[in-house]
Amino acid sequence: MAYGFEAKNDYGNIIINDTIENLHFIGKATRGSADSAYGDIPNYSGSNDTLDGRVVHTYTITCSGTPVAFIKPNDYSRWHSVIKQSVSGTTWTFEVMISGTSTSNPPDVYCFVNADDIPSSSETHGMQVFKSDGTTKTFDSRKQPLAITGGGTASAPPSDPTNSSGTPGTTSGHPWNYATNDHDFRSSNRYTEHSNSAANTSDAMFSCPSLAQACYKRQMHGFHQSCICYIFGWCACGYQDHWSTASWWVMYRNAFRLRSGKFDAGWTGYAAGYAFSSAYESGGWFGGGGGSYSSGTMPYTAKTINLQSNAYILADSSRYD
Amino acid sequence: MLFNQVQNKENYIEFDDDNYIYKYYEERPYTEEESQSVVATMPEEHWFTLQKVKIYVSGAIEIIGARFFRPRDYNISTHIAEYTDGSATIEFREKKGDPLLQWEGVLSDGRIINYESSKTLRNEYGNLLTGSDFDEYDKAPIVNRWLARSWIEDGEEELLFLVESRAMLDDVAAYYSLPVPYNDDIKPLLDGNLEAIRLKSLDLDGKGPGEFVAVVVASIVFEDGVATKFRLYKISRWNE
Repeated sequence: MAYGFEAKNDYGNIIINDTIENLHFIGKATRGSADSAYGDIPNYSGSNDTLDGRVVHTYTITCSGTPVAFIKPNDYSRWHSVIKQSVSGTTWTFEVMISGTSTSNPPDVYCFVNADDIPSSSETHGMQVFKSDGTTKTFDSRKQPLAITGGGTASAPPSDPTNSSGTPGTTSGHPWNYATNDHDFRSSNRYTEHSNSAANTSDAMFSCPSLAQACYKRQMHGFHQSCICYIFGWCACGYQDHWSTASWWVMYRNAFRLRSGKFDAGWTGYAAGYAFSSAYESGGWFGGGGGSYSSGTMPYTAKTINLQSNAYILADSSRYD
Repeated sequence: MLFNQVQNKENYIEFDDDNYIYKYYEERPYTEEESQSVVATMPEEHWFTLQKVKIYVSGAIEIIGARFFRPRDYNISTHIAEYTDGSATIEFREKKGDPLLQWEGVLSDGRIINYESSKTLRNEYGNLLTGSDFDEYDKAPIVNRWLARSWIEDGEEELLFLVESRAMLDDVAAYYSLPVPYNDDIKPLLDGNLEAIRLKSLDLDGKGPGEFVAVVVASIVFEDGVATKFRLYKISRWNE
């Protein structure tokens, strides 16, 4: 550095200088609509119907530059994640998913941008740091720079997001029209935890990308065969086949939870469905239907993708209120 | 002969026809090879009645039809019917979409009879919560299970329900001010052997084998929202 100002922490890491563009608080995003769903498997009644549920809150904020969103939970028992971020002009939209179906206690979304993207301040005291071009700001003490209180690397969540042991699969040999789900698709006990002294359940907020996704299906094929007709006591006309298929599926997104001294990486179900089809050969007047069928509308084949460790950052939201 | 209007009606062999499948067998067990030999002697164009459907209105048969099979390719059935007044024939064909009723009827004038299973039937079949119980219709309160709806575009609509007793039929007829669909010949069956005229037995109560529900079906036909006909479906089988 030929000139200017540089600040380092106790470990010698540079905190402020003319090349590092520090993030500064630009405001809380404005909350809009909320979509609550999947407290149970849609269109299904029976065993293992209950899911964790999820609410997707939509937030917007207008700013130049790309905002970094921090989620400040207002119910720390729930799982949170930013599942979508988009921009139109200078208006940024965040979709924040939280577990459960209650729309009460939505989280706050604190947004930070580069110092140069912060609107100019009329305050006359403070310190600004610029790049060597003399115009691009890297730090402005008047605009609430981001103070990181903690962070680290969160291990990936367990690859199997479902509470039941093992991932669900497809089985045959069930009775015709058998449609009782035997898999617990909830995720409440599927997470990895990370100790961090900055984690708390009062003012802590976090930023961590939700990359991992998963989608799993339980499918049961039912079958029954009956003799079409008996001639003199034996089945002379062949057998009639009856088929049924019942399938339950859930799609998950990686989500996070703050506890006292802990940062957890887990899962929340984002979408779910149930499909059922029953038929037996031939058609007409309750005679059944064709033997082929299709069922289920999973977004992709059963698997977990993007399962990897993520950097997470913790900060104290009360500094910006 | 079963039909009067259906094309090639002579090829659809009734239960009591001399050419019914019994003609080809002796009263003894057959090996698979022997059976194949017997089947090979049956005329290709012959279809044997497996289940016969008579639809009664005011005690008279309005529609007669059947499910037919051919032993040479027993996985293929055909369902054909005709109105006894000669006004139309019906051929059924596969149609995907409904989770349970995966077929439609094609009238001889080209119009389609569409079918839709009820929410109740779907739920009892497969724990499915989709569909409607047709609450927009004037439904007789005595009926416990509305099973399905059929409709012809710009034509009649029909709500089908599960018959539990003759008394239920009487109550439904009184509710709609329509004549009962059965006659004195059917009355003993309704009173003493209702399951004999079932369409199928299904595990609607979830009690498992041995306790399936005999699905006996009747229906109310609506035209322009007004109940105009009360139908009873009477099924008979090859062995009954």
